[in-house]
Amino acid sequence: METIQVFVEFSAVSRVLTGMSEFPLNLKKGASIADLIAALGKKFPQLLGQIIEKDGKALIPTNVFSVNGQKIIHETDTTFQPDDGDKLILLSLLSGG
Amino acid sequence: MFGYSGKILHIDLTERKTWVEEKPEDWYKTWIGGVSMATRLCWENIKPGCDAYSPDNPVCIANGIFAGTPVPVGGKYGLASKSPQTGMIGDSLSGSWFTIALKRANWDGVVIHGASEKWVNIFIDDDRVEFRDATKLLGKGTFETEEAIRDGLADDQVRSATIGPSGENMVRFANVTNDGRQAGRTGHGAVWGSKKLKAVSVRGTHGIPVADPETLNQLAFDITKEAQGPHTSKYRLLGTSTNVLNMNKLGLLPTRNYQEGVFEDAEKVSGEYLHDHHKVKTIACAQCPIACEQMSVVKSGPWEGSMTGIEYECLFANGSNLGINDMNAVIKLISIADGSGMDAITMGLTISWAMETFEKGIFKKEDFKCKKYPEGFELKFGNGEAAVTTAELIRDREGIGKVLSEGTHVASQMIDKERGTETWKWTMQAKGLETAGYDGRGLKTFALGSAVGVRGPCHNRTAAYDPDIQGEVDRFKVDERRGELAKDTEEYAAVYDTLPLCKFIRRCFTGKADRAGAWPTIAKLINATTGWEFKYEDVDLIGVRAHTIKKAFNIREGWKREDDTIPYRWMHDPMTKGPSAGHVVSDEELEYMKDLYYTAKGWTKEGMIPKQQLIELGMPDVAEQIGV
Repeated sequence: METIQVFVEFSAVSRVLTGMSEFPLNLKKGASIADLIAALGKKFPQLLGQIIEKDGKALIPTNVFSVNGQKIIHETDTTFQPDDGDKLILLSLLSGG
Repeated sequence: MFGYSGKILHIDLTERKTWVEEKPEDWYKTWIGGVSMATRLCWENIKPGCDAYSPDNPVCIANGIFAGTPVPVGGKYGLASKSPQTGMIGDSLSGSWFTIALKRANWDGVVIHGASEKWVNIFIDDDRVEFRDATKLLGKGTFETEEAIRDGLADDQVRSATIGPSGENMVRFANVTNDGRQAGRTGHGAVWGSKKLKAVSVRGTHGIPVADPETLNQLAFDITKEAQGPHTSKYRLLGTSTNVLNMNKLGLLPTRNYQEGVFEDAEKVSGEYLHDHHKVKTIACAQCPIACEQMSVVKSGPWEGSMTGIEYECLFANGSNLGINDMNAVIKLISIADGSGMDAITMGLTISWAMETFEKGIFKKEDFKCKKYPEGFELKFGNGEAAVTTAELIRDREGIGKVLSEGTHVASQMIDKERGTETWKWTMQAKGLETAGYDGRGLKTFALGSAVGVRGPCHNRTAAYDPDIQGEVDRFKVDERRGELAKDTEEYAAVYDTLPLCKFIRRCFTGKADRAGAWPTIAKLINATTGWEFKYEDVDLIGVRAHTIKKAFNIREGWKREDDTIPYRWMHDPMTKGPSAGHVVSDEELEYMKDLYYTAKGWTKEGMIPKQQLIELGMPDVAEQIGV
């Protein structure tokens, strides 16, 4: 089975919960962003209910992935497929006050 | 009438007299409270065209509809005057105990006219108003002033909104402060200083009757419970300062006066670093179950003991934006701003403008001669001690501080006239107000929202970065949706700023922050408080009216289409590093987006408001004065 490796970058609450700033994640080639979120939830169950929905299927709104700091994956886009070596930056966005 | 007293208190500082104005219920249904009601009071009481420092420019305070009720995050008030920074509407919000005291004193709003001959502390003691000599308070910081007033009145329940030395010295971007919170942006503190108004203090002893206490309590309980969950954990745990790393990773973190969007030492001035090394406690405004303010302290070194609350905007402005990687210096800078009562964003961006001006050889070492450094000093990016000294010079209007205390717009005009330079090209301001900590070159919808902002470019009055940052649109491009998005996000924000409710609560109604997720619950809160029958559409209209009256105010003060712009740098200087490198907002893009925006608003191509639209919004007098 062909696999790819992506690098998930944590900051803010996700960094506090995981205790790390980056984690390499192996995925099947052709895996979608939804597959990545599910794998992340299994590896770090402490993210469930805080960053990832409890069912592990999507990010909780206002948490988004940016691919290499460029493209930002909207919450409705579950089919995006990352490439080998991509940096998936998990952003917990804050605004207002 | 439930939820309101129906009374506005007028105070004339010149004549030292007061009077009461009673407003009909329909007036409240139209203007509600917060920035909307404060701006409407300004519209009714200002002499159009007056100077911001004139006695004809009133200070207008408007309570929130939910202040003093169980509704979470509803303890906020609006403050409005003509801004000395923009010459247009200056509308700000602040939270906590002051507004609750004012509501309990049975006043929906206060209008302060004229100017005092001597420094004065207004004391509103329920329905009695006292003009107290404030001479002994002069020179005291914002926090010390509040304490001194409480001590003087021997009552720890007295709440005060104050100015510090920056306001006394009429630093153009001075703030008004209450309970450790700031009504920031647009220079209210300077307006108070021009009136010799050191503080407004309030003791309120009445209850606040609401129409349906049982329903209101249940709604408040449910929202409070949600506000303890994942929708707000990021605010509670680390606060907004985590945006430093978010923005850095997107190439949007203002660095060295916005010359770049990536800071090599971002980790050292991040919210995460602050949490691990400097945070001492988290505090909340009154009536707030979230508690986002990260109180942080300098633990060693020359600024040991400096302590203040830190959030993203003041952090970027005085950290990466100054090229400073020493969190001790950043905390010290922000504590100077907060303690002396000046806007930490504008202060940081004024210092960064001066740093770039120094590094370009226009400012010389001798320009920075002062008591502390008789030979002057070198104001270079990254030099924390130089930045701290400059902040103190601004606060005290000493030496070069006299120029810098005017903010970047006026200061650059003074320097360019004197030296034949073009330093205005690196002022990070539009309409005279300095920009927020999101770089418009990589956020095209936000660039539009900043350009058309009625109080200038502002992160709080428009949420136009949301569609960019959440991937709803391509943040580097423009398209036909941007006008509608800018309109929707500013009117959405205006609903929260009018009630007012802190926007951090917006996902705690149903889990969804959009109109469909929030408006039905907000309508129920309004109805349980007042006995009215507001529906979804009525909540939506709150934002439209609030934004329209602010725009109308600006038009009456002479606003023109060309005033809707963004800093020169965002249009001409692409960044060279990071994910947002190479992008600018071209003149064609900006004008195209403005066309889209005015069309979405139903305005003319020149940005004027049709009479009919104003009449339909229930503003016939406004239609008469500025409608086309």
